[in-house]
Amino acid sequence: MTTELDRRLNEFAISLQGQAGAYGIGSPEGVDRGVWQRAYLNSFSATIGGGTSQIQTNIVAEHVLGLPKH
Amino acid sequence: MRERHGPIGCSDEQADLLESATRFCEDKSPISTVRRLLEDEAGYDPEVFAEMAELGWLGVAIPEAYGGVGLDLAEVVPLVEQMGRRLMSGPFVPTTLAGQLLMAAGTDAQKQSLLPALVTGAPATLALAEPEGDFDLTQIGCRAERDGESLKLAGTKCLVLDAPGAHWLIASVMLDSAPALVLLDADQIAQANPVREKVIDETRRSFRLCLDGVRVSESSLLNRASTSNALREIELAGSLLSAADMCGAGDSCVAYTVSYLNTRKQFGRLIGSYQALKHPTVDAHVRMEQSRSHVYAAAHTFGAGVEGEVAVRMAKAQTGPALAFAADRSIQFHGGFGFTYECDAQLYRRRALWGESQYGDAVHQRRLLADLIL
Repeated sequence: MTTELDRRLNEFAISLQGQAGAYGIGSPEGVDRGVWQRAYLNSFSATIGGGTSQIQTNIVAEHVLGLPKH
Repeated sequence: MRERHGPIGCSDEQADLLESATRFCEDKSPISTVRRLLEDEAGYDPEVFAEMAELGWLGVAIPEAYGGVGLDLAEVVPLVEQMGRRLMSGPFVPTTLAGQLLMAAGTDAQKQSLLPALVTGAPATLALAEPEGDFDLTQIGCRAERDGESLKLAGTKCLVLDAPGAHWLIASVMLDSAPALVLLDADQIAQANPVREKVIDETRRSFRLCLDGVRVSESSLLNRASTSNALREIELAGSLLSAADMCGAGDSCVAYTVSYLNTRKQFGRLIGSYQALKHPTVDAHVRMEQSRSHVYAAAHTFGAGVEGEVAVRMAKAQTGPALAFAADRSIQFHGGFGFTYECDAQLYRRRALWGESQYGDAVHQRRLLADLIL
């Protein structure tokens, strides 16, 4: 679940940049040289890899809350 | 202020253009071409741009007196929507906006000398954004000073689209403590040494211009009295076309996701059968449909005073986040493939980030909407 927080935080950080959100990863014109853009696009490696967020949610639903499998 | 034309819906002109544009963009911009142009210096195919001119697209919103078709920006919206759907880029939008700004504030002589060539395919662009600038286009750091018969410019412009190929551009500067617009020809653009910027949407070609030392003649000034209003109008025109572009992109993004959900199997089932994927995809679809309604309403009322402005700002505020959501979920739902450069979902997500940076993001639009409607 922290991986989803990470994705949302990075997305929020880009939204704070206004016009400068246009700049790309490593761009000298960008805010912090586009590190937030890189972090956002990279964040999906964690929300997908090692079991997607959807799979993790299912595991919590079934094994923590004891909800039925479909 | 223009009259509202009748109940909302497609005009005949819009319907014809929409059909023609749908076929043209599908034909000229398959994803293989989009991918090839990512690596291309110009970022677009000049022959395709020339064909757009031949089809009359550049003249749609230019009066017949200048060689145009004499319709409104409303009829340009379906064209840009289809370009967005096929992830096209290039000088069509900047040229169209430059034409609109010249219409709004240019002198008769300037319009007569530049618009007929624009209609037949001479690209142009705008230099309005600045590195420290906000979305208010009347907040300008660049300067012009009178020096004998000419004006001496100073300052930096950024996010100037397709600058090297432009035959002319309009730059905003401060002159005598008030906003002014000046024309630069191709030689003067070259003097401003356009340096390509690295932008998040790799289909775009954006440049930084240094105006220091560039001189223009007094006759290159646009009408001073119209300048502030023209800047406000062009911000709305830019917002409308940006929303149209993202509206088209969102539609094909959802289709791209749905296609994967309908073919990819996991745990013995098509992944589209899982509600965790199905429901957010429906949400994305609904948000894009809402966006289209907003965009067409904004096209329909464009130029109609406060009502028109409200519609444009609502369309832009709705469409950017909707495309961002659709593309964000598209990356996630493509799983291990979604995270790769080869997956097209990232092209849509990058386009949404670009669109939000153009002429005011959703937060900016909402802030202005609050003043207009509350």
